[in-house]
Amino acid sequence: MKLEIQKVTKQYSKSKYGVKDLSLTLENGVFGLLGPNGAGKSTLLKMIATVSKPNDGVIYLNKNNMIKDPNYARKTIGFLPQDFGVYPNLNAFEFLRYIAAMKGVAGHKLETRIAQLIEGLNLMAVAKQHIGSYSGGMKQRVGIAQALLNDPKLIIFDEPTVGLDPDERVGFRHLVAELASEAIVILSSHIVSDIATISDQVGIMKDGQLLAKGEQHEIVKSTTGKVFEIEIDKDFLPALKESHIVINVTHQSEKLKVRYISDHPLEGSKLQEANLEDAYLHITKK
Amino acid sequence: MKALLSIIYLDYLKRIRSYSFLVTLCLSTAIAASFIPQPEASYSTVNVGGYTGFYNAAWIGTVTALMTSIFLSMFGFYLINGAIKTDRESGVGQIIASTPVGNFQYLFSKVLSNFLILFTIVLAVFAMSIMLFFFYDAGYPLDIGQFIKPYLLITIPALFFISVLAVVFEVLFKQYGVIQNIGFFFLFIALSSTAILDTTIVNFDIFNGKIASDQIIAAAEQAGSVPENSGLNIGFSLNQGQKGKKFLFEGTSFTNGFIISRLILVLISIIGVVLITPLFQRFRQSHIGRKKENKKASLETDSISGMRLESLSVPETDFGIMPILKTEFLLLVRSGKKWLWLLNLTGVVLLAILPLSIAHQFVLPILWFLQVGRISQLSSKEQAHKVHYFTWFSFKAMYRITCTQIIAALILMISLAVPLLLRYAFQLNLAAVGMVCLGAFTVVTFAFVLGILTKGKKLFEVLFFLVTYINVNGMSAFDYFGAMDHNNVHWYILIVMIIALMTIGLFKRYREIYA
Repeated sequence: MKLEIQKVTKQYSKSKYGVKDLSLTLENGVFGLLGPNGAGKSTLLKMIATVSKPNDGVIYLNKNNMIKDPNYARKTIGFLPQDFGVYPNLNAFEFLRYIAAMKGVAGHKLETRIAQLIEGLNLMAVAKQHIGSYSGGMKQRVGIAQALLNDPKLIIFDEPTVGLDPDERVGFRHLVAELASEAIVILSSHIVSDIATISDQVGIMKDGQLLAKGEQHEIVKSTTGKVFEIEIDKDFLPALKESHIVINVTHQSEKLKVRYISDHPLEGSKLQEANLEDAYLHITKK
Repeated sequence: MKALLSIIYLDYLKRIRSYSFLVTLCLSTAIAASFIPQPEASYSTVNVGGYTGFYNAAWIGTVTALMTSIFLSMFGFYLINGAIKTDRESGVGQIIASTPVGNFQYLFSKVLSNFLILFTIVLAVFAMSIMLFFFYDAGYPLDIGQFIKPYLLITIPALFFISVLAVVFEVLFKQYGVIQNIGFFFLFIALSSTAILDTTIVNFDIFNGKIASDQIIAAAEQAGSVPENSGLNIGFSLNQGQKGKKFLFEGTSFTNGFIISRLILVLISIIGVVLITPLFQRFRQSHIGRKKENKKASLETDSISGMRLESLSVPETDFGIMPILKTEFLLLVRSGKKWLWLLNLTGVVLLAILPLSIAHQFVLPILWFLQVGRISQLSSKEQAHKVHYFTWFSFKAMYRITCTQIIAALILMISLAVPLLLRYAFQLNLAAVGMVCLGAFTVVTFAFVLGILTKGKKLFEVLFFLVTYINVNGMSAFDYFGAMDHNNVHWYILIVMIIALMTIGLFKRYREIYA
């Protein structure tokens, strides 16, 4: 599988861009997409999922133009949107059968696959109940199951861990790791730790543009040597925030322990090991 | 008080900013233009034995006020109900429940924002009536008081009552929208056919403005030539407004007793809100209900277990529409409460045993109207439930979704009409069979297209109610299922309308899916 995104632009108005002139090439593995709200992550994912069309640029999946012929890609895409819903008066089996029919998946093995997905996502106990009675996490799992119905080779998860509890997130990470061996998995998240644990490659978006892309250690390398920790008086914090990127503040009796990024550290600061969260903040707040 | 006004204003603002309200407003203004027919028109809206009034301020003001009172009371309910449900579904209800706003304050704010919605339409109709006065220019002076009085005393109290009724129904029947829709249909017929209290001092005919009706009849009789015991005909009647048969109506003299009765109506309406306030659960009941179910649903479903992907079965590819059709039909059948199927069953039995003409003209349209809750979201449910990401962008979605939704709804509507169809078939009356099927297709087309155009269900519900009411009252121009006699032109117009509507709907859906 090879996904090529070439100079893609999505323009909402004369001056407002969802995505601007973005290029990216992906092969099997997990690509984690980070970015603040409004960065254009969901817009990009929707274009890859053939839900919306770019104003400019091309997207190829295995050399097939997904914009001209979305039906080719739709047979092999699994998409979990950020803000999806379900028909509340269907149960999990019925809903998945319906989505399977929409995806053109059928045959005697379909029932087995649905049952396996329901079992694997721990929904079997409630599978005969109407989805309207499910919790947020269960609905999210139904969403994950529908994305995997058609044995997809291009899997797009937009904020997949929203609504999942810590146990479910761990389970989800294992699932994604397995999927990545035979498919391209693209996932966006606000939770940097989710991306850090799952992704082979990371992209950081802001204002519709891809600011950084590469393996995690390459991204982190750009911030190495710039992360520091210092103890300061409470009164000094506003001034520190003015001149540096403050990552974390911990109260310690009369003092504050502050982790921050800077090219010019304050006197008394201790150098810290950089991680993906530091790099993300460094890149997006430059 | 300031907080209450803010709630009312913002709620009102939220609702008028919808596309369906804009469509309804335009439609209401267009319909209002037909309340006062052109002098050479072959229909009338208000007449006494075929006589209509000269187009002075009193006549135009009173007729448009009466017509607005009846028609807006009818479809206004469907336009405004669901205000509390929207808060419940959007989650705003939970936020409101945690604020100091009292239950009565909240419910009354909903009544007032409902009323403001209807009042906005009244203002548009009122402006149209004045424009018509100038347009027809019959040589009478503009007496603005003759315009304002009937609106103020007949229309406004009736609409306030409807605004309260919508909230009362929502509190009493909570999320059961189908019961609200059908319950109002029968309540309206009951209320509009009988004056609750009619004495020489006060009368409580809620929608009709009997005082104005009586004085119009008196004015017509005074002018002579009107046949004795000619009642007032209100509603669109063909060939009743005969050119030249006119009388002078100089306005309604509203008695103190009438004014008091209208004030009492408003007061009773407010008392109604007070009385139902203790029954309002402040968004608690459904929440608790859901939590209980969740607790049950949470058992043994803690996490995503280790699923071995390589062991998953790989299904075959099949792009047929049968599984989708099955689910679309299931969604239609499951929509609404189960006991409503008892009503459907009763309707089906009545279609089989009642005289053919009654079964066709009265039972069939009401039986189909009972399905309003099922089919009103035929084409907008994907967006309403946010499922469109899964369905619209699947393989050849346009063709597969459109076909299955229309066929599923047709199966439902025609299945319900089977006894009638069989009776006609046994008589070899194939034309009647065809017309009933065309009727089913008409309803489905309107549900499908209006859902796409408005992205909601309100406009279809309003129109379906209006058309059903008009048909039950025997007005042949709106007969879409062949219960009355028509020439071929009637059917040609209907078929052209269906084709035009379907084309517009499909084009819009195509743009939504592929643009």
